[in-house]
Amino acid sequence: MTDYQPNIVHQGGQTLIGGLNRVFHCNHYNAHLQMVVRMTKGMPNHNPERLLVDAATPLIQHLQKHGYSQTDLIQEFALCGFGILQPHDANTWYTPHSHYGETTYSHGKPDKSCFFNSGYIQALINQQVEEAECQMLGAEQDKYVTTGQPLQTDNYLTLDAPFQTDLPARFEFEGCQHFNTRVDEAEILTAVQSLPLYGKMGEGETGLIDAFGVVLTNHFADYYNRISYETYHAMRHAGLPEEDSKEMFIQSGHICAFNTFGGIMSSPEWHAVIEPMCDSREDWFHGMVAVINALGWGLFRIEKIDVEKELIIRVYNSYEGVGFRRMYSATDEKNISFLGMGAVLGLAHLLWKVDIREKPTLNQEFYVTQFNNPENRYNVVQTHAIAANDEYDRFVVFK
Amino acid sequence: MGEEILHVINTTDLFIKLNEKRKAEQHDEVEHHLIASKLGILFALNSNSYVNFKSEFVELNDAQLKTLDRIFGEHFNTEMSAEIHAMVMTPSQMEEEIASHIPKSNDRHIGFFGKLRSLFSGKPKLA
Repeated sequence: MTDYQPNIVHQGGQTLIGGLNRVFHCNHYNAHLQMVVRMTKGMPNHNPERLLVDAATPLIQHLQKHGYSQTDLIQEFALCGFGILQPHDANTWYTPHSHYGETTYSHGKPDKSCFFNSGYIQALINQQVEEAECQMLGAEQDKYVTTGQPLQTDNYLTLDAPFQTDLPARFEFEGCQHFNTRVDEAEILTAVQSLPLYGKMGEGETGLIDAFGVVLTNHFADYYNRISYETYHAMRHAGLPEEDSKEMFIQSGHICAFNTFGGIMSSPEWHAVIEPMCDSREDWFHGMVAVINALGWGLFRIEKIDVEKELIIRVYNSYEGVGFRRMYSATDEKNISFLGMGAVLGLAHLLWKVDIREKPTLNQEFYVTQFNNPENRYNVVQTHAIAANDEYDRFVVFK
Repeated sequence: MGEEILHVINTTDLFIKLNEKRKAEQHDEVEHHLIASKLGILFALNSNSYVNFKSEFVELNDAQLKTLDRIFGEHFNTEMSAEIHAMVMTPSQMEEEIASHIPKSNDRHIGFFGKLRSLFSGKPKLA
């Protein structure tokens, strides 16, 4: 073992490890996003499963260029909640525990699911890799083998992206509603950043992050962006309507919010630290947004809360907006930060439709019952987008 | 070239049946809106034609019914052949249904029949 000490920097709402933005996301989001990407299998000139693998590789190569050793990368794999990565021989690796192999799922027939892990290993051994056995299919551990094909991956983070350093303080920007709340964002940020939200290696450890009723990863934001936008562009190129193409990604964000935000707002930590600061249901928005600001997703700022009517949130340095611009030139599409749209909508639903304060049991059955019922259902639109050259992302939830 | 319309399916009934079957097979249920979104995309990619499964009713020809059946198997891990065929309305069944339900007001532009009629408007093909 080396003295691996990750260089973690919190900057402008983002969390950088090894210079790359990392974002906490749950197994539900990872499962649903992977399902969306894999839906496009069979489209001409598009290989979604190779995309899911190869999108990981340049990110690991970036870390290698910045001094990471193989041992560092194996340790960081666990630290970020991806599981336990073990070399077997020159051509074979295993993950006896893995986030993708054990905690994700598919609505379709069970299938191999550890594409990200394969891409991670590709960079470690500089060869093309594929998953040979998967826990999702009943294997005791996930197994990865070299394919004998040359590794062909390109760095896709080639552009300079806008990154705001002059960020508005909470409630102190033009257009912001006057809020009167005891919710202390700084205290919440400190509390969340002190939680042990990392995986561990060693005897009996799994390298997984089990927290808030979900299983988390501290994932590469650029991985999410790459697989999402490449898939979205492929859908549009194939002639799928814009709304339909975006909707699947937004729904993944909504499911993420329901499970992760819902889990956080049901947790002992929430009830101990944040709930006592809340005098109203709307204070729960302030509390949850403070927590989100520790997730690496960007700097969330509530602009307006019109009770049960409208919620407006700005996101400075949103990981989707900044990430988009690291890969592509500016777009004229505004509704483009899919996770942000789904997450903000999900937050509104958790308080104005479900009322999470009543402590419902958050499971799939409850989700289906709630969202098959059109009563009290909200909509979301994105009016500003960093991807479209705006200063921030801005989401409006309305009835 | 237009394809002959042979079958109409009520999407809510279809999704309820899908979830009943998934639940019976120990799979999680899936929210209707998510099923509709997935079917819309998968159907387009598999059949090169666009069908809006968020509508209350969809119209499908024989080949499209087979595509739908295949999608349920592959992407929802549920065999739905029998259920699909049990709930489709053929043109003759539709005529009988309409004949037995014509409202006295003869208002043919609202409700069930209006929706059925709206199915026969053109739908975009994929590029």
